[in-house]
Amino acid sequence: MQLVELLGFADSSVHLFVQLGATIGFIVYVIFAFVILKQVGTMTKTLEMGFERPIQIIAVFHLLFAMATLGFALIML
Amino acid sequence: MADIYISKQKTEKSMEKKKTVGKVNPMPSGRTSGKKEESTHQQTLKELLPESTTNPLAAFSCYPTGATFAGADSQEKIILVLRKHPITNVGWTILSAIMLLAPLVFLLTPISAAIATNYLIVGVMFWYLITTAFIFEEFLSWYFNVNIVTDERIFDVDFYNLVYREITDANLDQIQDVTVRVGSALRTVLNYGDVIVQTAAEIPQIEFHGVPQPDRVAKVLRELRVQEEVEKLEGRVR
Repeated sequence: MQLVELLGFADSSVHLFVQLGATIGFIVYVIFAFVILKQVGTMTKTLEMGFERPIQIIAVFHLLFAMATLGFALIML
Repeated sequence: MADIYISKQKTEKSMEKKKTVGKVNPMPSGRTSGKKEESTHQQTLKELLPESTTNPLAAFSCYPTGATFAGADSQEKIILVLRKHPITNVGWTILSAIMLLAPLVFLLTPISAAIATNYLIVGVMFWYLITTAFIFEEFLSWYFNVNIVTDERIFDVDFYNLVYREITDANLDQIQDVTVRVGSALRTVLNYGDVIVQTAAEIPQIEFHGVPQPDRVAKVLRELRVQEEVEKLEGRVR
């Protein structure tokens, strides 16, 4: 009985550890995606060649995707 | 008083000499000869760069339509926008393909069966996020690291990482020496290489790395330099 309890505790702490790690990882990634968005803004101000709009759209979608993945990970884990 | 006899032949010869000297070295009427010289160089430039490029992803863009950059003068005309040759992207493209396929391969291995499904899904999503960021960053690095040649200056725009950028410029009349370096079999076959520009500006060297048609770029720079010299002589420098 004690062993089962111990295994259950170990399982829940691993789960907690993974959940915490994933949350921190995804939050860092969202910040990174935001930095990319800002970087794209700076780059497009520095040089305009006619392909800025698609690049900005990709950067925005990338940030939204990162945020959605963070939300999804919080639900799933 | 001694008589001095000068032969008719000798005087005729000296007259001819004077005439020929006059023909070989006519006194240049500065402005007209300068204009002629300038038009010759403009013609050479037109031959080197016959048509404007409309593709914004081109590695060698001549007179790109609708292109501007930070710090450009209103009258400044962009002549060339250069990026690294597309072949230089092959390395990270292959790596990206491997990264895209890696989770699929992992899911086929028996280790994946031992991991809970929700962990697997989140793990795969995180992996694809990193892959997307990697591809996007590499593309941005290729697209925005450019060399710009205008009718007044040359620019080297470098984005080293997410937050660090460096823009170097030098006036065309500050260019002292242009060196073309094509160093490998692949570069020779695909005709791309480095153009190293020595300048009298604060930063003594501007390098165009892995640009297509480096010889053509060097020729364009030479023609532009000569044009700038002519403009300087005529006092038309902006």
